[in-house]
Amino acid sequence: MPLILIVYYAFTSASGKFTLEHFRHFWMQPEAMHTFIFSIGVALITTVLCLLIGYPAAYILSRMEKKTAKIMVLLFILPMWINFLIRTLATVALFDFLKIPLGQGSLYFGMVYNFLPFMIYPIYNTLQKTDQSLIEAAQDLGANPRQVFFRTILPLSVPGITSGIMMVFMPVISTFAIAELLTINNIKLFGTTLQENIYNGLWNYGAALSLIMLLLIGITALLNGEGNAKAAEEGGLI
Amino acid sequence: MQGVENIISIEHVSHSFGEKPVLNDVNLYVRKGEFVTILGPSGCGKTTLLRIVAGFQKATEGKITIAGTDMTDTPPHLRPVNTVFQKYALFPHLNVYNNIAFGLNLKKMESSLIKKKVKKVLKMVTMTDYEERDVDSLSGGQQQRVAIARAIVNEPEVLLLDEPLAALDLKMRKDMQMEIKDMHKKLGITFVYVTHDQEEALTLSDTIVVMSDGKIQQIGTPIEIYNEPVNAFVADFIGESNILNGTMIHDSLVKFAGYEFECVDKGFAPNEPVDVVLRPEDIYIFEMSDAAQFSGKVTSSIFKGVHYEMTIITPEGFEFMIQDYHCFEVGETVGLLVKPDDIHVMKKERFCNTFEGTVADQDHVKFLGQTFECSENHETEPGSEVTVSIDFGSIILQDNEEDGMLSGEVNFILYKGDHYHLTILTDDGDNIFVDTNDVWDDGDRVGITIPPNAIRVSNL
Repeated sequence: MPLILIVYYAFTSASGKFTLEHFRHFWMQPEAMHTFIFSIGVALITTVLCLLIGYPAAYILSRMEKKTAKIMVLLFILPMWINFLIRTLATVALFDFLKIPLGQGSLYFGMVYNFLPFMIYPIYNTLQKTDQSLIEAAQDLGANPRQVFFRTILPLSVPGITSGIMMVFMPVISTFAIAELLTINNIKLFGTTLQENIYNGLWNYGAALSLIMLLLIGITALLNGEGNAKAAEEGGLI
Repeated sequence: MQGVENIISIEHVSHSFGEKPVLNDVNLYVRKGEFVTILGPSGCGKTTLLRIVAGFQKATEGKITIAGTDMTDTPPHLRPVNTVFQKYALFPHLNVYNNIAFGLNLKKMESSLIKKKVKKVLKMVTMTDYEERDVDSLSGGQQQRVAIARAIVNEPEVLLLDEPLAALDLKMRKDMQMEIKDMHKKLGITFVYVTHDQEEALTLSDTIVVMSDGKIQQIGTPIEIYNEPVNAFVADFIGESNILNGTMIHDSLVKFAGYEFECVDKGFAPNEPVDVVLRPEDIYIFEMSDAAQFSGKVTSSIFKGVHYEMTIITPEGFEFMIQDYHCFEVGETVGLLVKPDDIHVMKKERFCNTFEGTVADQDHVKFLGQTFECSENHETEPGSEVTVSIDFGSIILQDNEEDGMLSGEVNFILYKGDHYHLTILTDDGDNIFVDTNDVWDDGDRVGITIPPNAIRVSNL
């Protein structure tokens, strides 16, 4: 139902007439486009950072004894229970306390801190489910530990990696709270633009922007889906 | 055999998983080029032994030598052996060609050479033209052949096979058995094969190693193992047997099932209790006549394709399984005869249960971790170490674990013609042997009670 409303608002003007003006407005406005592209950039960098930190973390977790690993996973997920907004505000306070100026650095810190578990968990899950006998087979055929990793473990963990990327990339694009708070509104992300417009009553424009974002997410999901046709069931997420 | 080198030496290998012992002082030598099968029931340690040779497990104790080099501490990727896994372990992210080429790619071999080798080995397993296929599009038998190809393309000194045919249906298994035997002849390398299927072992091997409970029971050629089993376990495990208690009256004369029979075994003490093994196909069955050594009544007769399998019960209460091409109906009285050659006599492994114990007081002895009331009067000092003997038939087994003094699980059932000889594994890990007429199942939980008058105490 809400989706229908959004579609309705996106294609109508303030007076109720059908129009494509909002979309044109979007293309014309350099500021909006600029924000849009910047958001994608931030999302990409965040995803890469999460991957670089998350994969090794997931790997270490998968090597631990089951009991210890379970506790560690719990510790990772625990922050999730605390409301996202509160956590972000707490991070702001932390930066304040440490006298670190807010800006791009804090933005990335906030993003990675918040979304890292979403990268770690799918990868950890896939790594954990990897058939031990495949690793033994690789060893048996002459692979030293490095070769076992790059030729067997890594390729088999790809479903987890893709899942992790999906779970980080998409939400980052639409998150505005982190950007707002951790940069005192200095840096605008697409989500912010969206929020502003809706907040300020420009529902139509806001709705159009939402649809654009939905389209973007849809394309990402589709691209992912194609590459993942087989592995779709095999424990990407939970 | 002089002058034939041993390609694998397993010396004094023992292994435990935590507290649980799995291998107990195993010693085995494998000759170069032979096809040796390690045969035994589930849990006997055969797979663990194979994994120790492959390098996936390091033995708690003992030494492994392969091709003359001590490889006890060598990791699997540096050993000149290749393994065919039970569940194939084919790489799902690679096609058939790349699976097979995996080991060769690691060696950074030239790709034209790799292509030649892969094609050659695909031909050997009759899977040419399957190179581009995804492994999960293959049937079980095809996957197994790819797994074998992947192992042998590396030209190892030894090929280890861990129950490779276990997941296949009967027809496929039989076909693959022949293919594996052919491959062994063609390749000329040493094969070490692990299985629980005794028919498979008899079909494929040059040498069979029978294992049970972490120990080697017997090593021999298929014919030796079948015709001359060294103990009741091997006799029961290989082929069908009738195993009975007997008495060796003197050389070449044995008494069992209430009658005396001429046999060919010697070297026993007069009237020594022994175990007698008769293979079902060795007992002659015919219409009752004077030629019979003993007789019985047919209680079941089943058509098995090649022969009929019949159960006969003698007036003395002994049951025999007999296989013959002729059919005798249920209820018929038949004559039976056994040739001296076909009676196989084995030394008994034990005559009664023996435990080490300590005297608690005049009426009590402590053994198996518990104190038992003992009705035998003895003046031995409390605290002294004694030997406790209990007859197999004196121990009582109960359905309800809690009713017994001890509890345990039925580990092995040996039918002795007129009673069952059970091996009970107590919860503390001790073996107790019990004779009973009750029918139990493998794995049944039981309560064990030892009545006071069954306990015999003697000084160490």
